[in-house]
Amino acid sequence: MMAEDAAAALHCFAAAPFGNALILHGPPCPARDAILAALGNSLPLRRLPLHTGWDRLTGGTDIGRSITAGRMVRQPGILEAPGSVLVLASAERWDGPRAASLAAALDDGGFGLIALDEGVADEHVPAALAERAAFRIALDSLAEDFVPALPAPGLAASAAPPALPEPDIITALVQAALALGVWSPRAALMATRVAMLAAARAGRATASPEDAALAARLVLAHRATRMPAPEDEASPPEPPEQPDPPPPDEPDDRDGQGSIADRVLDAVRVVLPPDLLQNQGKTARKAGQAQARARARGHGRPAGSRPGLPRDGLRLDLIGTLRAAAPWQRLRGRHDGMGRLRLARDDLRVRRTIPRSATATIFAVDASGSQALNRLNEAKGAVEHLLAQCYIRRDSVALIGFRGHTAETLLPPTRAPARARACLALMPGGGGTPLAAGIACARTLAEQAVRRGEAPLIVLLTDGKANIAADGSPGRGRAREDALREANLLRESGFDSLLIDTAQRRDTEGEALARAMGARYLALPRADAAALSRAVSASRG
Amino acid sequence: MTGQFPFTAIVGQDALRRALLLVSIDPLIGGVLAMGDRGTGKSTVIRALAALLPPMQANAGCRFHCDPAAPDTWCSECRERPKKSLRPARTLPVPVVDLPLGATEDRVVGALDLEAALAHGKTAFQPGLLARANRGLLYVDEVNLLDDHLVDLLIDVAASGENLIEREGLSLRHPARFVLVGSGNPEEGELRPQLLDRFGLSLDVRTPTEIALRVEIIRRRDAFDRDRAAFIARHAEAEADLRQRILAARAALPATDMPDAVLARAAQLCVALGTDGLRAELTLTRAARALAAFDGASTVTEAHIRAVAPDALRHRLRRAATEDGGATARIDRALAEVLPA
Repeated sequence: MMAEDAAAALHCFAAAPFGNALILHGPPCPARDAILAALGNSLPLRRLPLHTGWDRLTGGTDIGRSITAGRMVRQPGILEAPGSVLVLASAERWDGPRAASLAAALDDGGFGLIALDEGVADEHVPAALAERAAFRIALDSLAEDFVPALPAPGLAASAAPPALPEPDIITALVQAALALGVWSPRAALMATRVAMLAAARAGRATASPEDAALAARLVLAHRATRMPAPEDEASPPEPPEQPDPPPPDEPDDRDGQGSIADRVLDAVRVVLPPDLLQNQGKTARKAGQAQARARARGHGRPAGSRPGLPRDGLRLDLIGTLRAAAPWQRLRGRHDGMGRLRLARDDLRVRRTIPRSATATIFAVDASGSQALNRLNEAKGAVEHLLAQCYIRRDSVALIGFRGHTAETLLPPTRAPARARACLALMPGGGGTPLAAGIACARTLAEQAVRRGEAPLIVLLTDGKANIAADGSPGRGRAREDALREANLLRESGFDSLLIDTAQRRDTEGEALARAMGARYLALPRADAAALSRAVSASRG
Repeated sequence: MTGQFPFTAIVGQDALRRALLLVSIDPLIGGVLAMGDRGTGKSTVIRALAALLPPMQANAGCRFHCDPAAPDTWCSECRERPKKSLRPARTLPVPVVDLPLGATEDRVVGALDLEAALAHGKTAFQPGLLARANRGLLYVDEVNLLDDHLVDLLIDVAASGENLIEREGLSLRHPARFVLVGSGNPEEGELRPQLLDRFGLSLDVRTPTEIALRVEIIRRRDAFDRDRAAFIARHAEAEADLRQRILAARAALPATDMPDAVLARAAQLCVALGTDGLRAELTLTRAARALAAFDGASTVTEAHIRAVAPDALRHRLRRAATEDGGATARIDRALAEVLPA
């Protein structure tokens, strides 16, 4: 994002902050400080630290004071007093319920939000908040001495949203949103509003095509999920319906509209990141991680108690609390042995839990004829070596064999690797290679493992030479297609996987499959025991 | 700011709106599952429904808003209290309760009231979200990412309509009959089959890609944001009409006739699709009856079955990940065979 665009975004945000959000992405830097300082001049900013509790946001019982006072003392929540612009520190770490409360507060229009996003790699601002953020500014694109020019304090921050622009501008922005794969109508609405704010900034009464182009760059570009089609194919390729022709009573408008839409799209194309497509398909993994984090609090193996207040998902440890309070009863004036227990805030104990972090390793072994000839025993040897490791780590293991027409779960997940070893030794070989069925079966087991709260790791041993399609019919072409489709599904599920290529001669089939699965790739001929261990440990992360 | 976006002012989302209307006519159909992209206005539709539904009567002072007209569904507290103290009944809007993903078991089921226990030494029950959702809607956004222990709770309560609390020295029961509404993005995860089964109707929600429709969505949303009260007032008449239609359909439901021939067709359809168990047929016929009542028809016809079959059966087919076209295409093919139009 260029500095002028960033300045325009900040200006528009400062002009209509309520119900809107701004993401500042990047580590703390002088530019970020300058932006916050400038916005602070005209807006009532309120900074929220990462540990802000859910009950602090929405209001709740003040447990400490309730105990002291002997009656309920309510603590008002931050979100119950509208009128400020909240600044979220480490926004990428805010989890589900708190993000949902903030999103609801934004929708009511009483708050604005500035999310300081320091996420790297797979960390992102929660989707509920990102969806409501009109602007996203990448701080690393700004010069160190960047200082935004903002509307003078007092003039800024009108409560009502700006008027809608002319119909052709709305249509152009809607078309641009569709062409970029931005499906949410909310984004298009925000873009139309930003176009009007941009017009006001330039001193125009209504939005011009330039304002629309700017709005698309600011609001739509950072949400794009696909590259717009080249200019000569005006209609987007994916949606089944063609964009509607304009109403018949205004036939002359078509060219005008088309050209505005094209100009808007051109403007966006300039700022789209080149790696746009590589960022797709990560949502599943992201969501899975959020889920794992959400799970971490208050669930898992009990591990004693610690002092703390029972809130935000922490549960009171009643016995621990009584034990902590008991020695003090005499001092606290309970002499008669009749009165009720006197508790102090410091007595409260909450249960400590260690989140479960078990791994389920799922072995899917290709036992087809092409394998059986020479490599099946080597593959078995490799699995056996890995099983020993799983035993040390108390992982659960499952074993799938695929040959002939189908895949079969030879051993459902178990913590007894000895059984797996026995199963493996008895595993017969021969027949076709139903690779698609094998991958599908592994995925099913992995999904089940996730439901049990385990992190699955799929280890697929195959030579990649699929020749049985998913429906059991022979034929190399379809079999390969099916296998790749299943591999893609697996990648989208976001499960960790490792492909051990057992092909006699190393060729591209195994590697292509690993790429489709999003798996680490290891060729068996060179994979001695130590290399295997390293690969599995690395896949577990 | 107050006021919900009016149900009748929503552009598009016809299938979801119809499904929600059907389950509000006959809650026995089960819940509604809407899977689709983010930002398609699913939650707007669901909240709008709550504002549309006719208000309900509840026993005075009951924390679970028990229905005065149905004493056999009352909570243990209402049963023990003298009848007189339950009157006069209160009039309440139908509750819509959000179940957030990270909710703790205590908040969902209810738990020992800590304040009462610590400050007053009393054992009291603090109702949870299930209690608040009684006779209303329980909405779970991103239901496919819901934590497993919460799914377990929902599966049990959604089937029995009753929340049993046996923990922390508490032992009580209260009704928890709610319409479970779930939404989520199918790419992010799948639902456990047991939970899928609790949803009577399921839909694939897509954002409209028609430009004109999308422009209209923006216009209406903007008009609403600009002046909520005026916007709501403009649609008040349409809302009242639809409310009357729901009430009329509820009243007509028991008398709506289901001919044996139509029942047989529904059964044939389920057999052709190989759906598991009887629940598919039950849901299908209930939904068809609700649709007939809503249309003002006195008899359920094959057309009603045909109209609701995709939504009632989509999530009840055995999964075949590799089959082309997916569940909807399979249902269409079966419909063409068993129930040709």
